[in-house]
Amino acid sequence: MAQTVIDPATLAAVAGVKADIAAISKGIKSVQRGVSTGGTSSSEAVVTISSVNTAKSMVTLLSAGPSSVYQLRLISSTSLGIFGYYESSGKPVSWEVVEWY
Amino acid sequence: MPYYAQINDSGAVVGVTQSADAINAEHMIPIESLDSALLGCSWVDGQWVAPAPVPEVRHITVGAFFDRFGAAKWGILADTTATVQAVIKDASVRKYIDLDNPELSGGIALLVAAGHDVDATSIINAPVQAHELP
Repeated sequence: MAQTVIDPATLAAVAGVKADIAAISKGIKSVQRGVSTGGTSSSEAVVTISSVNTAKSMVTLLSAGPSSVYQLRLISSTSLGIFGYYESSGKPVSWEVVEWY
Repeated sequence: MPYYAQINDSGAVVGVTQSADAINAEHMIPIESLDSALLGCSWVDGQWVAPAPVPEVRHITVGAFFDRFGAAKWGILADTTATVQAVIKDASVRKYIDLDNPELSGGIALLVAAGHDVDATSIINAPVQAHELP
């Protein structure tokens, strides 16, 4: 009977995909939302959040005023940063941080 | 889920947050809901204090200022007396007219003294219209 040999690298890749699928199937771990006064182009507003795994989290802009130009980022596990440009400078912005398992 | 108001070094609220877990930090004040109306308020002695109203800036263009003289505008601009010319030049070299400038009433008073029938009170106190903005 013929035997199929699969190289270790392929096996490892399959295992990785399997782990990713398992993680995705667990879904969302936490959601945090807020409204914060955004920063300016030269001064980043820093927002405190409860701790998340930055490798498994995403920050999203929910709403802002017309002609808005914002840049949002996760600075650390407990903070996100907001830059505001042009007419958005220093204006309130609504954000959301979603963390997955 | 807990809610917090984030305050800056001056004690003013710069954000409200619905967090996943408790946040233990001096600049995060527990609140009852995600109340964005707290933005700008200050946390003073355990109470929220609304921000002081920002004074209205009443600047108008130089052209809008002269338009406020109505029919008297042309007579004023054509007046060659030294005092009236000084008032016109003083206004004309400015980028805008600050209606709250305390010297403004004095300048208009010079026009009245020169015989021009203008109402200083209405010129200074009339609400600023959109087309008058610099």
